[in-house]
Amino acid sequence: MGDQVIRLTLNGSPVVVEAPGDMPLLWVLRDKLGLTGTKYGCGMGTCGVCTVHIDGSAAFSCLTPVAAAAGREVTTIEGLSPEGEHPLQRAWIAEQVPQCGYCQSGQIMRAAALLARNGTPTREEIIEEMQANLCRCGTYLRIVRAIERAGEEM
Amino acid sequence: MTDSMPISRRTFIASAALAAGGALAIGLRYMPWGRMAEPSGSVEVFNWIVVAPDDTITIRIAQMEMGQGTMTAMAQLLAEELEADWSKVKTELISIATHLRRGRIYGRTTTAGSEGVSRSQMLLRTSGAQIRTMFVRAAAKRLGVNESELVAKNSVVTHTSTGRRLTYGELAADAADVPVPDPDSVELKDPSEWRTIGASVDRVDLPGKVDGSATYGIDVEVPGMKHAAIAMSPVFGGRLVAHDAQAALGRPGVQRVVVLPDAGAVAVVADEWWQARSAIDAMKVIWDEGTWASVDSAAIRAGLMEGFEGPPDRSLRNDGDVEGAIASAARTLEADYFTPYLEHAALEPMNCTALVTRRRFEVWAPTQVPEFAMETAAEAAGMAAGRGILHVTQIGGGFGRRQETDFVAQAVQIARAMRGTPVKLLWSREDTMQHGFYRPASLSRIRAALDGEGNITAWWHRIAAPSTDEVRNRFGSDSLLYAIPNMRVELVSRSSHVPEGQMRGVGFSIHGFVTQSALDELARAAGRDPYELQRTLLDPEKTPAIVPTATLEGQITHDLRPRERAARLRAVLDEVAGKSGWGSPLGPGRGRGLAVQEQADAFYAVVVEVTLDGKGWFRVDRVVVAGDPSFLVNPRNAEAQVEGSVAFGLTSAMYGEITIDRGRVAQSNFHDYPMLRIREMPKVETHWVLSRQPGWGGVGEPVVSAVIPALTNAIYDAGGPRIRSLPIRNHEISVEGGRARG
Repeated sequence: MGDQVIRLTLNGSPVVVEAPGDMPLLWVLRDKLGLTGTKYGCGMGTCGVCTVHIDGSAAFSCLTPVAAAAGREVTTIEGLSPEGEHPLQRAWIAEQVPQCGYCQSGQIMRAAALLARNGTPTREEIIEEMQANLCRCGTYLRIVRAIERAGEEM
Repeated sequence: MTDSMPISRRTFIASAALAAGGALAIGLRYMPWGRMAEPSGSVEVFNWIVVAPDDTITIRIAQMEMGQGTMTAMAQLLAEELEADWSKVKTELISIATHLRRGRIYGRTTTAGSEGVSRSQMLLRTSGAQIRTMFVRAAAKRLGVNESELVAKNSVVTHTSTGRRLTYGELAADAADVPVPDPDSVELKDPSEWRTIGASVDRVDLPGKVDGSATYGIDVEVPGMKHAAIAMSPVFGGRLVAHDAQAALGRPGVQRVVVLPDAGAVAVVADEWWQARSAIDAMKVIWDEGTWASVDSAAIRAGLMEGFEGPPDRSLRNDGDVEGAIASAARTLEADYFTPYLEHAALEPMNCTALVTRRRFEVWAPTQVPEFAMETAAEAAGMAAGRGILHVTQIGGGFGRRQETDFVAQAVQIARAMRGTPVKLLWSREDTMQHGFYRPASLSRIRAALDGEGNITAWWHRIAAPSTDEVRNRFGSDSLLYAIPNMRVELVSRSSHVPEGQMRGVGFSIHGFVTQSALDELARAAGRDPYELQRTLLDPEKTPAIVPTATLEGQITHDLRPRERAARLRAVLDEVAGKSGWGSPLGPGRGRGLAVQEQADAFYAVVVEVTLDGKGWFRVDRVVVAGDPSFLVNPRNAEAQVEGSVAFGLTSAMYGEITIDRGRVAQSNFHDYPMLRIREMPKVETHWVLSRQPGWGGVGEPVVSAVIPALTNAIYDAGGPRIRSLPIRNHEISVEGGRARG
């Protein structure tokens, strides 16, 4: 199984990677491209700490073969906002959301995809969307408040 | 009293001399592999702070950050007495190597037991006051005035009569030369004067946690680093018999196959982790699974049941005449309660990065126990600890799992085989789930007696635990403050091949469920309201004169008398009853449950409200918490800890269960070890009843243990089943919106 040459757009810039086509995007991001803000948690799409955007939609990068990202736009937490000033990031600080913080890149990326398609989600819509992402520290109440706060700001 | 007392000046000078510099290490700090000057004129003052010319103060933190907010709280404690301008405070973790070289000057570094604040506060406040005094004395000398004419505030020393002022940045070099005052000579502020302690300042560690820049152990990058994946014996204690190294070595990027010294594991080292992981999967490995391969959960539980027969191994408490009271009782009740093994399930899988050269070793680890990790690494490297450097990273969840250093030993062993090449070892989720140090299972039998008026006259608790550690098998069982004249608590403890460890809540998470469930059952049997019964039993005037505490032999604790403890517990009970509207009518299918918890000088009471839909589903609507940890350093963060404790406890109550099948853990990942998700998270209301007395308590754990029985009591109150074994999903009731029952 040899490497493939895969071209994709990463955080707004064109990127060429050589990797086995079935290598998960998660490990391409972390070990080949040095973007470690996207985390490994379960490897099977049950925890959401690896959440990135592919063409603007939230996706589990641990379940996405890098070949499936070819020609598409991938955004990670590092590319969400140039200065880390996305309304969600500011809201996450305002509500003092993170505890250990390990899941929060994934939480913020999923929330950002939600707000991008629905700027004024109801509490039920927020919960429905965020159900995919685990937080072992239990920051859920603050996550909901932060998404509501950011939604109002946007 | 605390474990970490302020060091006297004499101690300081002695340890500083040991530390290699002799006098104060002004302007110098220890860096990996050597000693380097602080950049641009920064000055270290008395170990704890580094002051830059622009008045930025970096406070060194000796407790490990795993999300509990300890870096912020520790800094607040020191900054308060230092009179530091909080807007210019930064933090950094101490250097463990410096700590050890300077004679453990930073006090306790082990981060566990919700004791960060309680055990560090006196050392930090006193150190802050000592350093403030050094700044004031330096200013007095510079200005040629008496110390008494000077006031320190907001990182500035001001001469009150003339208004002349010197900033800490301007004074730092001189202050570092001032002899460190004796800790007994400095006066601490009255709590009413605190401005930084008790303020809900923003957590110092959060900016890097919202933009992906925080470096966890898994994110460590060292030049030339290789990646390791590992296969461990599926049955605990098994040994490697054979492995097909060639199958791995022929794969892309693979550098080396390393059998670990105890033959309990084999690792593959490759250029990238995915390559290493894939190679491990491709490698045929044969294990000698040993004698434990036939053990399963049913056998372990049957062994515990035998513990109910025959004499106990240990009597933990024996007040009055339990057998006589039971013999003469109007009614007796007996019930067995079971709690399963649990895994910590920190979202960051176990990992550690290590470099071993001919003469030195360097380790990067997410660890709660840096000094133990250093010892472990030194042993694995075959060198003295003085030859090593340990960098503690951000920790993606600790919960007690990272009090163990198994993964540190492995990483250093692999790096030793790869001498000169840094190696990052990363476990998969499956490795992490199946090679843990589990909160032990436990079985309890409660026998209790009621008299004709519904008073509890006897309480007999027999514990049968596959655990030999009393923090896990005893804590929470024998420290009950209830006015029950005849009380016996006894223990049968059996070792098991399943590795056990501390988990958030420790033994309280077991015995909180047992005792608070039994009390609720007794209230129902006696036709009494659970709150009224608890309140009657927590009468300080009737509390036994001697009640054990949940402390280890030889451990220094605050000497709270049982009647004070009972009074504080009753105060939070009353608060939670009031705030929750206890006794007010609830609609059909709804119920309330109550539980109290004393843990390490902290007192909590919890009320849970649930709704049952009559079709086998329930929803947790509301959790009301009242707490008295005596003081709060950062209220907003303390509330976050309570919210997190609710989530952690609800996960254990509703879902948590590790089972053993053919000697190994049956669960492997989050599909079969589900945890609380956002939909199941209830509203949490936290109310503080701060007694502001010596004897600081914790905020990170007690609610974990109280919320579990409060929930099961609420389910019963709402018309659901009496839950005597956890998790709830094994019963004919499931969580609304949750995952399917297992």
